This record gives sequence, C-alpha cells and structure tokens, in this order.
Amino acid sequence: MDAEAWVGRTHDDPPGDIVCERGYILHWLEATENANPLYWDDGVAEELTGGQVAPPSMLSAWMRPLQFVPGRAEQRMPLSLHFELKKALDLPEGIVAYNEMTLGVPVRPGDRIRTSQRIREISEPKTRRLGTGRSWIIDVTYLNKRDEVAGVETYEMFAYRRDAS
Amino acid sequence: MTPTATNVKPGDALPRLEVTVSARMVIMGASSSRDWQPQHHDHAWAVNRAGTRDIFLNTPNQAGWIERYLTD
Repeated sequence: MDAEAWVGRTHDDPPGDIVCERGYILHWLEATENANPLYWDDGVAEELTGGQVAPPSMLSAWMRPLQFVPGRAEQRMPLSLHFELKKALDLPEGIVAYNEMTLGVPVRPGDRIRTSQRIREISEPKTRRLGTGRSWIIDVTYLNKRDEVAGVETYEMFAYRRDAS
Repeated sequence: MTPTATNVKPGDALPRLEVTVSARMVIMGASSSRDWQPQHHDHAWAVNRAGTRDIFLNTPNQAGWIERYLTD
C-alpha cells in the first residue's frame, strides 16, 4: 500500500442523519456542566446571537451518522476518509493525537451539517507506546445547507497495530 | 479581577478548573457528541484491544469542557 498516494485525497460525506436541535444541545450542556446563559436563556440568545445557536464545540456531533437507520445495509462511519485510510493501511486501532478547531458561522437548530475531508500529510511508520503505525493530518470542513463554513477541524490521528508482546 | 477576553494578557495565570473525571462523564461525553467509538464507553475494549489505561474523554467533549471553561 502506497500511503503517500493518499496525501491530498479528498472525500465529501453526505449531510448528517440528524438535524441540530435543542435536545442534543441540552445533552451536551449536561455532559459538560455548561451554565452559559446563551444556551439556556432564549432572551440572551436573541440578544447576543439573534436566536438559539449550538455550542461551537459540538460541531462534530452533527455529522455523526445514526447507528441504525431502517433499510441502510451498511453502517456509515463518521470521518469516512480517516476510516478508509485505516483500513487500507491495515491499522485497526486509532486515537486523536491533536485537534484544532477554527469556527465559522454558528450552527442553529434546523441546520444539517455535511463535511468535506482532506488528507494533508501522512507520516512514515513509527512506534509509540500504544503500538506501531502512522499518523496523519486530516482537515475536516463543516458546511451547512447554504454551503456556509461552520468550522474547520484539523485532526492529527495516530492509527496503529498493537505490538506483539 | 476575573480574566476576560478584553483584559487578559500574555503571561497571566488563568484560574484552574478541576474536574474529577468519572466513567459516567466519559460516556455522557461520548453520547452527547454521538461518538460510539468503543474506547469511549467500553472498558474492556479500551484496555484489552486499544491498549489504553481505561476509557477516556473523546476529543469533541474535551473541546466542550474547554469551551465551558472559557465562558464560565
């Protein structure tokens, strides 16, 4: 497998299965014990952002496929380009080593988000505490239905195979 | 003085936010970000398959905690 051939490869995933909505936002606020009135008080939201918005750190939640959809034969993966590369390189495990987020327009209830992904670089094979594999950098652009950029995330992934011990 | 975006300067010490991470917190973080990668909810998978010490907070939820810290 020529790993270098993957550098520059792009892939667009279809819009997420779910639409941004208040219930998911409340679950996120619950999980992070976030009391920001922007998300709890509609008056504050109206004043500051012209209505409800989702926490920007939730960006990736909106693109993750449902685990079950009637009639869908194959489970969709989030960040499909990353998982295709893992499979191609036969590296079964993976972790996020680095993440950077650049924010664009807010995600609002009713928005459906899709992603465009691009592999920026791939390392040579290397061994870390978790195992032997490669790291790669993938840029993920999040777009709403108006093709406005809601944000860009850069991930450095380390995919690996555990060393025999 | 509480540091804000308008008065904080390079070199300033920021207040600490200490949170004890529990399994519930890790799994709720995975659930709320809709991330069902097993290392974020399945202890046996995390330890025996992925080789990590335990289940751990996923990246989006860590960002969520940082966002909460910034706006507290």
